[in-house]
Amino acid sequence: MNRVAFFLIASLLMLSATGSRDTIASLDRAMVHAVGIDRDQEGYKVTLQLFRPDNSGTDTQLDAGKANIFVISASAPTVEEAMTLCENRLGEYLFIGHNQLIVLGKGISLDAPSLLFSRFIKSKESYLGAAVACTEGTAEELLSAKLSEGAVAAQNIINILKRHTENSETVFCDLLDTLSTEGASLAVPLLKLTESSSGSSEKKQNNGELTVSAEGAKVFVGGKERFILSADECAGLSLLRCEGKQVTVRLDGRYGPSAAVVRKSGRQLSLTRSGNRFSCRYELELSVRTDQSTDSLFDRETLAAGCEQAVLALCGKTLSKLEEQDASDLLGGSKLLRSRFPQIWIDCGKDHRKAESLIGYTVNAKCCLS
Amino acid sequence: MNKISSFQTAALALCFALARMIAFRPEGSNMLVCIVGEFFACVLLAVLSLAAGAVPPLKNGLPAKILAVIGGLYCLFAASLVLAVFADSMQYSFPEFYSSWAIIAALAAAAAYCASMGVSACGRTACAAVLISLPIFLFMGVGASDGIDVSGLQFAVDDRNEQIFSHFVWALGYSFEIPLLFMLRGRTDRPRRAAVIYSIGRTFMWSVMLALCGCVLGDHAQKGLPVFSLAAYSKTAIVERFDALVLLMWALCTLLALSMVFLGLGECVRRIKTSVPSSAGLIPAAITAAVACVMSACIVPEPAPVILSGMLLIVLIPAALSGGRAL
Repeated sequence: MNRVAFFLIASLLMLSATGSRDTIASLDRAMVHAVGIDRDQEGYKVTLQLFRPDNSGTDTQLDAGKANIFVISASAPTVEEAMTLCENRLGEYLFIGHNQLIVLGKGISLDAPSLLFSRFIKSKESYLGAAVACTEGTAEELLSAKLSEGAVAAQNIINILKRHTENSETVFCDLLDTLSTEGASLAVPLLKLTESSSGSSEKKQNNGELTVSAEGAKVFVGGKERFILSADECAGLSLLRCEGKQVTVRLDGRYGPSAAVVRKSGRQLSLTRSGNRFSCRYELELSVRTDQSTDSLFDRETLAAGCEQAVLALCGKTLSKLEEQDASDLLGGSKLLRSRFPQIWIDCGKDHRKAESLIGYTVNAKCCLS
Repeated sequence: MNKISSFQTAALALCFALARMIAFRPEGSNMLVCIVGEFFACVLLAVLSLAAGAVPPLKNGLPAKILAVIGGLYCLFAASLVLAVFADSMQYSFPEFYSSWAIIAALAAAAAYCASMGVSACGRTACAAVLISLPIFLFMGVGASDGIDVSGLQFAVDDRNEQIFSHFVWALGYSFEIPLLFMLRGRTDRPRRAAVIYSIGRTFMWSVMLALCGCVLGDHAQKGLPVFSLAAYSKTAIVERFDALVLLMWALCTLLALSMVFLGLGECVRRIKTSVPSSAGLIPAAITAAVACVMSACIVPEPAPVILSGMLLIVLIPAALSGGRAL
């Protein structure tokens, strides 16, 4: 009997005490799908792309005929203040748990990512896998653009980014990458807003259709924008870092230039020491699927050798660009050195570029036909 | 007297270790350093708990009663600290929604009720909790496997030995379950076997989880709550993110850990006053919950681990070395 009474008391206590004090109804929340950050005179201009179902008089609030997105901007000395300003103007609580994309406008520095993204770190609902991209223009312009496809624009951009990453035309970067590589170089995919020339004549009159492409990447060295990697260089970087799924390479076939799709099947990375120098060796394992179309264009041996040469050329091009720009830590050699030779890393003052100056890279590729 | 199996006792102690692991805040410490510190602490605690497990059940007498009073006070302190740390971590993770008083009151009441159900019920629930946690952490690891980079685990810290020692002391101090394993040895079938299962389980669990955090989160694992950060990052085709499941595991394990403390306290009370009925876990547990609520509000959430370690050793070592004669 005592136990039953105690159970009832405990249950009542739990129900009354643990009820949230300030419950926020889902209707009072503004769901953020994408965040844009630009520099302006006040400091930062934050643009939020929100999900906003349009009331169209139908039973369901969601209007499939519209993009169902809403864009709001505010400027303040810090990103966090600007987001709070947006929240105030909306009259709703921002919910960033669904945020999928952070776009950095031109001139944004990543030397203190913890400060820049403090709102995202503080909020435990924030998703660390949200994609981070940058643009040559302003993030506001990109997020405000009426894209031709997809119900939710942010998802549309993410899908475009993922397809480009799979095809190694750019590299993927998420919020966690920006936070976990403080002091190191960082490659961020570059989004471009382009006006498509195709489409109906009516659309052409309305300035054509807008599409987003993600070819190339912007490289931040020591948090500052340094240079841009082309699509080919991104393919090389992607091969060396074993990211993406496949690379399309150009080969000379029987009837002239042709293309072959090389799939990545593995990578072995080794770091060896000889005196004060270190050698980082990449062994790339690739595969090319042969079928009737490739058999008619290439000999099997020519195809394998051609793919190996093309891949090595891509990697070589990327390596020389990164070494020239002092950003070879993007390849992960300094991280490997930190892990395998911790004392050397400490002696280098925990500096990625100092550590990289001790490392030389060699690449070897082996292509199998399947 | 009902006895529980060695697996059930080990599961109760593992719930303690799981709850501590989920709420673990490295405060800038390197993950590999933490793994090494944890390993050394586990080895020492395994030796101590094996020695303590070999001590025969206490005989009644004044020394036994004195030791029971010390044990009871330690349980009270442990309960308060478990509650305080849970409330503090909840506030840290979800600052907007919950008051720490509400969390403390609700958790203490639920744990007291759970303890009143008896050691067998708690043991069975602990087994279920540990078994449920395995697939959750496994899928969480699978969901984050794309981001695994082994070079994220590194030893490149200036004060490596100091950091290892610091984590060792921390792990030792917060291992409240070891004295409890000793207190509950009379209720366990094979206490030494329970100590072995617990030690292996804890070392494995901590090592794998911290290694995963280090490999996936890189340097970001050194900030905040790494297990929750990993849960927020991990994504599978079915589960979008694992925060809610980890929160559930954390609450369940903390509840069972607190129940274990109350069971230990019940044993101490029974040792002091033998006429207490077997179902009397209820009243002392309720009183303890109330006292713990008040105490936890007065205790600094993170007292110096050295003091905690000292307290643990004061309770455990004399008991382990006495071979029953001092009691």
